[in-house]
Amino acid sequence: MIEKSLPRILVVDDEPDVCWALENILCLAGYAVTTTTLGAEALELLARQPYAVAFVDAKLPDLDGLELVAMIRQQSPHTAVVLISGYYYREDPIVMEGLAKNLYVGFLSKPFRLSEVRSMASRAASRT
Amino acid sequence: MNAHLVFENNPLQPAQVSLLAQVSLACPHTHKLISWLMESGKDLYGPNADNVLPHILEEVAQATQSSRASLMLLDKAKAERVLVIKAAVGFPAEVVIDTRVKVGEGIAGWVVRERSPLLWPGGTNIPPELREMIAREGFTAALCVALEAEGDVLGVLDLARLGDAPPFTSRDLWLVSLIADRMAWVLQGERLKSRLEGLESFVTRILESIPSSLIVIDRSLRIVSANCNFLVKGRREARTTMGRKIEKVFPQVLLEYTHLDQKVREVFRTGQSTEGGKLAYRAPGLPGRIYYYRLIPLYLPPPPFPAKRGKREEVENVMLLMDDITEREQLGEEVRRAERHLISVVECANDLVISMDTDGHIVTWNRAAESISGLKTEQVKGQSLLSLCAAGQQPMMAEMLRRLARGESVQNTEVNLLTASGQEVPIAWNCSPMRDDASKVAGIVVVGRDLTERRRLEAQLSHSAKMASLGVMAGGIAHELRNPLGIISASAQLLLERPAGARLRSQGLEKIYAATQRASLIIENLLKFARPQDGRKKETDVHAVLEETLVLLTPQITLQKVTLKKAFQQLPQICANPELLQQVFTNLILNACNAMPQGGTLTVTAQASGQEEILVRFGDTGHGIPQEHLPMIFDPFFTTMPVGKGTGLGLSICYSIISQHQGTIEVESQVGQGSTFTVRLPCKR
Repeated sequence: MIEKSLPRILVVDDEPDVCWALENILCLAGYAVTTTTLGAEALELLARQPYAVAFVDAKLPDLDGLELVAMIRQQSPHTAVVLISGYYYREDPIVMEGLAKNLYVGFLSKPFRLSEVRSMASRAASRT
Repeated sequence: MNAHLVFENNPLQPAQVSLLAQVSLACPHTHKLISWLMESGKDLYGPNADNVLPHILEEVAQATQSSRASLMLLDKAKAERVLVIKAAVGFPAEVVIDTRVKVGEGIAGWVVRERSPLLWPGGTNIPPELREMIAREGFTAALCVALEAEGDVLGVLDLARLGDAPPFTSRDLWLVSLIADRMAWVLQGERLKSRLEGLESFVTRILESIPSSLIVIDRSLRIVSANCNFLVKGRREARTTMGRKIEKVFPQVLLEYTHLDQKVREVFRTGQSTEGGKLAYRAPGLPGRIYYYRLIPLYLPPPPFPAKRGKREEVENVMLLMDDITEREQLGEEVRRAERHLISVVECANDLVISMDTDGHIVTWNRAAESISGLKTEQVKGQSLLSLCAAGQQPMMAEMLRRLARGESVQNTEVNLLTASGQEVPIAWNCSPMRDDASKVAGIVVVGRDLTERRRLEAQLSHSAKMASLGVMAGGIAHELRNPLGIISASAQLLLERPAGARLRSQGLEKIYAATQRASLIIENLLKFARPQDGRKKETDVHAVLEETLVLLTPQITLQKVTLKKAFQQLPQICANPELLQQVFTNLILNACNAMPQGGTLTVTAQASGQEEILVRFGDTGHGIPQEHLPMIFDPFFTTMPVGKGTGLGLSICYSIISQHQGTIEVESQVGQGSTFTVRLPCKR
């Protein structure tokens, strides 16, 4: 019962340690978290079951993060996406453009605050 | 000297004179002949033998009552000696013209051959065939004597009587012999005179045609002779020159300057030639000329009798010989000017200009060489250039000198020069052999450029370029740093929130530690790259340098979706500057990544080609370089990137760094396929 009520969150980041940190933060906030370091795997996971939110790193070894975001939006329109990046900054035109197009609901730059992650997660989860 | 002198030296004996006086009373013709004999040199019948002798012959014929008389002379021009009639009395004209008698034939021929007078009848030595011939001719008497002078037979005086005339007497023979002698002397004088005239005109022709000015001066310092060259050059006429004193002919100022008069007197006194020297002489209305003059003594002709012992031969005249050396002087001046010009070119050059013999010993050493090395010409002259090179690089210079001695030239070879204070100055040498007229190598000329300033500028430029590539790398570095920072920050926040969770705590601390390590490694590499290099070369492991570079650049490579393939062989150590090499590798890798904006494959290979050189290749699968850009890509400031994106210095600095390592950098490229840059580094030290 309880598990069913937990919103599922997918974390996609090429850094396993970043995955570890996000998993811990979000688990503690009461989400069911799945992590992967590969874009292709993320798409597979999304195809298998719905996720309320996906945290996607902008740079992945196999796929470009922004491309992945677009694919997720197409494949599972009900999954809200949060873009994470150590490369881009919030005012980057490319980031602003994605926000304006509604490709992702929020942008999280590394290093991030835990409260920020949680509020971003709850905001995103509430949109679905 | 003339024919008169010969006569004066041969006077008649007093006995002969008194006998002649007796004979002359008998007949007026004989009287005339005797007057001619007595008058010695006086010309009774005109000035020359051609006029005199026919008259004399006529007088002889009359005086001796000869029906026929002839004067025949030897024609010496012919190989066969032949007598030719010069004058004749009593002969038909056709006989006179045609008669030529071979020596040994007839009366005259016999007289010439035998050098003996013929008297018939009365003579005792006449051979029978000659008597027969005289009888055939119908002569009643014949008299023939040779004309002899100084032991030479010149011809004959031939007389004959016809009909019932009485025979010639011994007194006739005696008179005819005297006349023949005198005729011989006249002829001889005539010959000597013409020879002398020929000789005189020969000498005159020589004097007039030699391109030197020549005057002859006598003891009173008057000019007795001047050749045409002197008169023309001095714009003078013979009549205003001959017989004038030299101070009236030469300008006063010239005489004062050269002391010509004193020198002429000196030559008269000592009898020795003087090597005069130069004198400048400007004839009125003509440009000044420069002469080299000499004074030469001319002696009196040697007396015919031996000079008294101890008596010095006397100088009769002094000859002043002036050679016009104006052109030669001007040419000399030109040569000196050209020489001065060349010397100042060499001396003022900023580059070292050194000339050496074929063994590499220094002959000249210009001012730049002095100031760069701190060594004066006197200190290096004769030394080998080799000994002035940095110890480690002497074998290179030795090889260079060997090639030069073989006649090859050497371009742009870097060998450090040792200065007086023991420092090393980097010099780029350009050397060529100097050849003599026979194209044999006669020496070596080397031009060296001090690279110190260039190296400093290059270092500056290379540093700027490095900073520029740091800018390119910033994105990758930021990403690479913010990841560990993100991990550290998140872990720390988790630990702060949940200090009690043991598992979380230990995991979190581990992550913090690992991420900190990672971040500091990136920073360290960055610092290494950004630090200004000291420029020293040392034993370097190219493999290690490549790995370090790749560590630093992997974030960038990954960021740009570039797959890296490495194939490194075992490499020998080389003498190089690792920081500079890293800069080259960084540049080539970043360029490769930039050529693949959509991602691709970067293949980095390193291999050793024997013990000779190391080859490092960077191949990309990018857009390639258009053919027309290939020749320019190593030029400074050549870039195809938009303004503000690339400096255009990267490849030019790579080129300069690899050149400093005596290596090469080449590129192969195909538009749409990619480019491969190959760096070759020699293993030799």
